[in-house]
Amino acid sequence: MELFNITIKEANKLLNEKQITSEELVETFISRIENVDKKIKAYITIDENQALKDGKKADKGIDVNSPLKGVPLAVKDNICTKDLKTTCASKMLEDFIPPYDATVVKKLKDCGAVVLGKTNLDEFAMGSTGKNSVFFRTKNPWNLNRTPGGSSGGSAAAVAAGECVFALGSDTGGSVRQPASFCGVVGLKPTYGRISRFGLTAYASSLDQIGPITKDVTDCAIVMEAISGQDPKDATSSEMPISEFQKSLQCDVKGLKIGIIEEYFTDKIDENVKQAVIAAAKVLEDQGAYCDKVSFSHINKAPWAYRAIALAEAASNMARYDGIRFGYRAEKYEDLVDLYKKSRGEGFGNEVKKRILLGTYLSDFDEKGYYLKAQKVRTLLINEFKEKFKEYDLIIAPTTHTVAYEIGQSIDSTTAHIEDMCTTPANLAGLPAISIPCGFSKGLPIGLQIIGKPFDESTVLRAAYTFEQLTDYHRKHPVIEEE
Amino acid sequence: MQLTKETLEQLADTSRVYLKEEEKDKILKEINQMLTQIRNLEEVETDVLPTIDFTPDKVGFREDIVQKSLSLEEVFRNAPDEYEDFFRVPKIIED
Repeated sequence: MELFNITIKEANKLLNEKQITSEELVETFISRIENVDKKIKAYITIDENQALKDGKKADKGIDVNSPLKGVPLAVKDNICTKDLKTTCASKMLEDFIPPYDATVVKKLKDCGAVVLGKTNLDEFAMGSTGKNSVFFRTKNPWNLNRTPGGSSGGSAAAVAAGECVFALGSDTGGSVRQPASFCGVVGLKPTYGRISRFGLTAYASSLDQIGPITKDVTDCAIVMEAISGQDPKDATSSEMPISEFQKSLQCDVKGLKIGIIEEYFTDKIDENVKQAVIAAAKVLEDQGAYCDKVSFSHINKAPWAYRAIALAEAASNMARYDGIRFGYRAEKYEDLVDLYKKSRGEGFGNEVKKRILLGTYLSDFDEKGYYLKAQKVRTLLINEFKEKFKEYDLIIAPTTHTVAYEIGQSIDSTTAHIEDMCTTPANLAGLPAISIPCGFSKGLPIGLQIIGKPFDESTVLRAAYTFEQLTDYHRKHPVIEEE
Repeated sequence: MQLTKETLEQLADTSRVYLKEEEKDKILKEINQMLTQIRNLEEVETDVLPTIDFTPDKVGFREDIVQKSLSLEEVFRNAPDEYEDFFRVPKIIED
């Protein structure tokens, strides 16, 4: 096996046995980035010098006992890193250097993990293909003509291409799970409140959650243990005790009741994706789980509610970019109001402007009350999940209705609706949901989504781990010709 | 009903986003498409209360303890324009 395909657990073993140093590990990934990132374009910023310094520091024996000590990672470029540019892939923050670390980054650094750099995304995490990055498009490591998905496309591509051991992403409507699915890696959106969002650039605050993107489920559990927990700097972070997620890594689903959402199995879903998800359910059933089709009458309405809520919240969150205290300021303006308008008009890309404008309409101009209606639909969906979870321990679904799109392929409103129908329900209901590789179609990965009860990431991880132990999709890696 | 160019201009003014004349038509068309999707909400029967807060436990208030804050140097490092210890903005008070 190539060293760049190493997992956290494997890296930890090599480091503990002194078969390799952290500095050498960092050098391996810097070299891999140099060799393939011209093709993949996963990174916006590479922090080579600091990463090498931090690698040396980890080797000298910082006083911490963590499997992440000396392990290199990549961070989505909407998560603040002290003294390292955090651009949100926007002209607005092109030169922004945060004076502090996001809580998740601080926690990982405290474990001795080494930040290699910052990964590409759709501008301010608004998009699902990566096309909205102001800098460049990231390519899918499995096929350079395909999108890695989005908005955490850079993080998922970096993990799949062996340009880091693991990465952090953020998920507002599927932005960790969909790219993880498209790139054939593991991505978890934890329960709302499980992880502090302090230092994450806010998009839609009642939906946003940070999540790990890793090469397997074991690594996902390791990162979750390191980054979960209540944070005084994020009032929405929960006081629920942090579970020992690694203890849930047992190959045992005997007696688990699993519902398969039948609304996803229409002719709108790629036949190979359908078959892969059904086959995955069969794998769990063969291990003693009880799988049954379950109907969600409101799931097809989730994308409409998601849009209204996300856009209204986005319009409010984006108001902070005014060209005064930080961020882009227009060169020419007439007065203060004109300074605001020109800075925002020039600093934001087309998609961000659209979402601010429509979000403002939904917040302020809309006489029909779509935002309120959306929050009622959200209640219906939450109630429906509560009801189903009385009977079932887990719900499974495809992560995406298709494999990765071709770059430049136009996505019509029907396709966007089905895509959002797969991923947004977990955000609207605040539930933990993981995507794990469960097959291939046309040489491109397919993702299985496992959704759990609030704060029951442990059962989600147990089922994901069981599936992983019985299959080898997660061991397959894309072949990228090095330069 | 579709949003008109006039409404778009009001929205741009309210949200302090300058739109070039040549980008208005494209943005208007695209946000009307997005709004068409959202309008589907009208057909949903919703005899329930809206979701306001679904954090599972109480809001995490913390003790009001004085802590070290950012230095002025850190605060101003990203400022587009500053003068001494202030962010500088265009004049807003008439002579």
